[in-house]
Amino acid sequence: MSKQFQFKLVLLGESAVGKSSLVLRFVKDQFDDYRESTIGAAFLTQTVALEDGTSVKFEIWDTAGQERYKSSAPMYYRNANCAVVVYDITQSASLEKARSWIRELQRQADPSIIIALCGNKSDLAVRRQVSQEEAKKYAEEEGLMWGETSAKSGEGVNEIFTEIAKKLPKTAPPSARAGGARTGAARTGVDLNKQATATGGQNEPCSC
Amino acid sequence: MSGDLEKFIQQLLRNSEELKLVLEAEAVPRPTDSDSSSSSSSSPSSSESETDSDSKVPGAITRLKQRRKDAKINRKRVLAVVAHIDPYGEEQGCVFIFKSHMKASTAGNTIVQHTVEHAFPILSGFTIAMAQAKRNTIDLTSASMETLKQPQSAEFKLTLHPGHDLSQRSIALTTQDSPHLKPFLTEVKRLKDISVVNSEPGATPSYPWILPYTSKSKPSLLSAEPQDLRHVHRQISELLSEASAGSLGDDAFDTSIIREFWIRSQVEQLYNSGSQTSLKLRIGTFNVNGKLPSQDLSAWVRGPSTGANKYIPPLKELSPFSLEGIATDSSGEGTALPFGKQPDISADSNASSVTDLPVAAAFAGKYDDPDLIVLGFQELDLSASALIYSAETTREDAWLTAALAGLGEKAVEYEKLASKQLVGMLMVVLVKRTMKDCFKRIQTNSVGAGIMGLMGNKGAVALRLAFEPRPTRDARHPRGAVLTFVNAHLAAFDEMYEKRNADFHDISRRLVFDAGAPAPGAPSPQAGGAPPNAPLHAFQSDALFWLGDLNYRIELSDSDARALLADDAVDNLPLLLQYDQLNLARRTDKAFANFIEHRILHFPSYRFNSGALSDNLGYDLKRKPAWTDRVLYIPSVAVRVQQQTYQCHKEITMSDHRPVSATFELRVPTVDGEKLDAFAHGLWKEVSHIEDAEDIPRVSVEPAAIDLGKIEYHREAQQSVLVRNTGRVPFAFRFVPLAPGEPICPRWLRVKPVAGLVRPGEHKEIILTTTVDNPVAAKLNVGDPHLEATLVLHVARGNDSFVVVSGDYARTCFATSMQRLVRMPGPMRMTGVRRLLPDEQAATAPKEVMRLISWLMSYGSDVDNLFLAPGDLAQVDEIREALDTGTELPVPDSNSRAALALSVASCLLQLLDALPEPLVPPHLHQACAETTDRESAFELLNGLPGASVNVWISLTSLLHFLCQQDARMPGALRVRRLAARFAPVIFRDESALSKPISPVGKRKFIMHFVS
Ligand SMILES: Nc1nc2c(ncn2[C@@H]2O[C@H](COP(=O)(O)OP(=O)(O)OP(=O)(O)O)[C@@H](O)[C@H]2O)c(=O)[nH]1
Ligand SMILES: [Mg+2]
Repeated sequence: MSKQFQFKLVLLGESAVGKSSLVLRFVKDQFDDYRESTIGAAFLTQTVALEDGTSVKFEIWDTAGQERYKSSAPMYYRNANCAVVVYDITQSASLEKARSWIRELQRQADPSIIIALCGNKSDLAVRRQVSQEEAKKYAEEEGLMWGETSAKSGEGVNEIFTEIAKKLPKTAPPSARAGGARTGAARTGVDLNKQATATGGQNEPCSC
Repeated sequence: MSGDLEKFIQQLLRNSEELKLVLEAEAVPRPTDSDSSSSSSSSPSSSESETDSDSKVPGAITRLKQRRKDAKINRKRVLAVVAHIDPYGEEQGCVFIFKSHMKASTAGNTIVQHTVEHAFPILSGFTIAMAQAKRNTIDLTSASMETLKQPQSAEFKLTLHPGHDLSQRSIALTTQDSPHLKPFLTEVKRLKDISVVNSEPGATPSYPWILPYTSKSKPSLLSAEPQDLRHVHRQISELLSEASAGSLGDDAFDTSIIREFWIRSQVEQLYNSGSQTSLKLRIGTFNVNGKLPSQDLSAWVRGPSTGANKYIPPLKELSPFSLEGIATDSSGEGTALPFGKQPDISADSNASSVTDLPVAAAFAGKYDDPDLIVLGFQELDLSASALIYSAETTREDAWLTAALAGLGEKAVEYEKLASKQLVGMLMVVLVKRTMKDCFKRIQTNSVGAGIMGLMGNKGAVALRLAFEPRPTRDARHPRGAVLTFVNAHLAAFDEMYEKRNADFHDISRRLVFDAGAPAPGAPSPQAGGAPPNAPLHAFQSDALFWLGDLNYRIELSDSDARALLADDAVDNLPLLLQYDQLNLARRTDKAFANFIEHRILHFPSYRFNSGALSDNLGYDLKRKPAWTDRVLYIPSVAVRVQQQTYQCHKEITMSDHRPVSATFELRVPTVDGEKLDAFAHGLWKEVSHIEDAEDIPRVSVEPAAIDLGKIEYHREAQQSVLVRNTGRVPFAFRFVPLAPGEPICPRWLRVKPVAGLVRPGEHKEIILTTTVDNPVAAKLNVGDPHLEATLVLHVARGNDSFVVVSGDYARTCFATSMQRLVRMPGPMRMTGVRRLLPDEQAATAPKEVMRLISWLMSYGSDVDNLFLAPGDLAQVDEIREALDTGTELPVPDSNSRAALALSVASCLLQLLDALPEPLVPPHLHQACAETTDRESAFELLNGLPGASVNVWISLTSLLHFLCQQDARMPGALRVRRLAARFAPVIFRDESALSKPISPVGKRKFIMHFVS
């Protein structure tokens, strides 16, 4: 029977690069041409089934890219197991911003955090300002995962999340019940869907 | 197997809960159950539809086999002991019963799933009884666990009794899991012991964390009996789980709490908008010191008379003076005289003393006659034999007769409704005859709290009743209200403060009413009340009144207390009351938390004596005066209570206490009970499913940024934010702090409400209020004046939304330390935060203080009541602004001078009061208060920082100068009043909890300099 692991994932990147769009594609397989800029942070979950029979449940925090909310970001990448830092391939400035996020994560986040650099809007390749080579080279230097996606067409989206899922260490106990949960500080998110299971909800049953 | 099971159950639990042990069991099929149907569960939680597995299995025989298998699985139960650990590390236990279900997975095969069937909080009433085969039942609580030591293979029958909650039936199960049975029961016992220990002071503690597991269970609000008043008054912020931005708390738990508060507030709105009826109460408490009535009690019983001419009707048999004979008789032999058969008395003996009573003409006609008169007596009988319970009611009869006599001509309109006595404590309730049928389900009870905790020389007697207004056209069964009255006598003596608090909690915990046993002689309980034997708590009321000789004293020395009562007593009462132990207990939540007491405007009611044994006010020289006799109350959202009088009756002098009385008007909703029920249940239905709704909640919070503009000292400014539900399901929201462990907003801001529930299409307005009080200003004055905060609004199962709030703080000299003020190169607003003069260049005293003092010297010295009468608020603000900006203080013309001087004086007092550390540093207070002569007073000044000494000298010279002016007030009186005014400012107490320093001593210290 498969085991389920649970991880906290945070999305970072400049405003309008398509963070919320990526999450919407990944979780609901939908795309909106007109999305409102995020004010605050959106919480969603999605489970990825892996070939080895295990599954990874992501607790996703999609943060706000606008500069004025920058100070709140540490609260969301705190305790995160992985981060997806997004840039827009048609805006070279957005890669600069991504670099600064990565620097901040390397300094401040949990040292074991897995970081993926993600070039979004690959469907707009005609207006490309960031070459694949440049981004890839940077990612290799920093030891990051890298990929291009299009939230609009869906291209590359599942792949990048699946790659992250594969790379995450499967040593944590199932459902990542943090050992020191009670101390408060180390408390990871509570799985809302557990509740539904307990009262006979419609989500997938847990395996044991 | 069981290892897997544990892992599995653990996954169903939230992080705040810990799985202790599991036990496999089977439900006992009831005779009517066929093999194929699972025993239907009484729990509303297992409401989901089970997939019919039959369709997946072809062939009749296989189907039958499958059915058997299903039935076996359907009978399977897992018992789990789970402990919840609260933020303080306290454990609360619960036994969950999980039921197994077959369910088709998306992959096409069937899998076993578990849902919570029952949840039993492990409270003091909870028991698991165990029996083996046909052996006798063993009760866990008294458990000898011998049975468990026997060789195991047998099947045990377990019966779980919820104990506290009678809406839940007991559950019978069988188990063969004997290896786990003993540890399981031991763990239950351990948690039960913890719950018993922790149950103080609460009644039946609620275990709200269980709610989300049985999420369809209804909030207690919808039950037939009123909610526990102590829970009703709890703040939602105390209850919500710990969470912060990016760290989810316990959404399911929070939702259940927010939902309950929301339903309650909706119901409250219904109460307030609907019609109400008024109910008038008079409550009296009297420690009679073992005496029998020998004086007219009308002032106490009847209160302000409605007629100007007091006329005592010739109700000879009811005259209090007829009882004098009994008083002497019964003290010896206890001769009982039947009610209404008193010996004859002469008519003129009462006439003279009664007409002497002052009639408060001002009250005339203002109050209607009470519908209910509740009289509480203490120390009814001091004789040793009184400690042994006796059924005699001589004394009760005597006091009842005297009380009725006190009602004068109105006595005929009243009769006794109920009474209850425990040794020296007696409660007698009189009712207006015309209203008698409105009071139902009358119950009384008592608890002893005296010697050995049980003797009953201390303790309480109590009465609970349901007021049911008469039906109206709109309400055939008006909701009415349950009222409870407690007459308590708590531990005596100054130093027994803690014991009094403990007595309060002890009484609160033990005072329960058995719904099945109404008071003898009371009307029979109404059908449709609580289920029989469900104990009803005193706090399960719509309003609880607590009266009695609570025995709290004044935390000041005897000489201070007497001195403050002797001069200018009316001004000093508020000061004395600050040191009242009951007020202290209430402020610190040690006892009587959330109770309300009307402001006391009367002198202490204890202890009086006569002649050489008493002081000028009549107080006993050997006992410090105290407000021992009190009336407090705690209302619910349903009933509005307004207190009209709170008095002590000095004219009734027969005891060493003086009786105290209070008059109340209650507004009781008359909304129809059934309509109310339907309304509340409707609300409940609408919002009971929000945790597991399929739709994701959608919220819009606007505006996302708010500029509050200028943020000023002591000036509140408000803005609002709208939280809209733009989705299709109701959602619960709450504010969470940005970082863990912090408050949700900075101290200069208040957010209200901090949590709420919004239905689709609706919105909730959040009010943001800026408040800069002294402690906040002290911080802001030395920081960056640009203020910014991010509020995080979390929607359960949804997003965090941000609201960025900003503003610019106008710094002020108020709440800035002296050390800093003297080093300011210019006026506050004109200099940068970080620009301070070096120490050598510091001023000798703060310019701001000196400017005010010299203004007063020039223009204010002959103004009456300077510092004693308040200034004009707007003017005080202007003056402060002038100090902060360095502009000229207003120059008075002859018309405005007096008023302006009062404002400047107020400003100076406030400036001194706002200092982060009082003018005289706290470590010197005690020494100052003990100073007896001028010289040592001057010496003490050496201990003050330089700037403080300079301020002290200028200030006291100003005060000295004022007292010498020939104002209308005699100099000595003016000195006293000014000293009284400045003492609490100059010697501000650091905390209400520290040992009080003599206020009289502080005043005297100031007088050394002023007079
Ligand atoms: N053509 C194209 N447009 C995209 C793609 N992803 C996002 N967009 C568009 O880019 C705009 C911004 O997308 P969002 O997902 O709101 O961006 P965001 O990173 O969440 O922005 P903030 O919430 O402000 O931090 C929207 O108009 C999207 O429709 C994509 O892959 N291709
Ligand atoms: Mg976004």
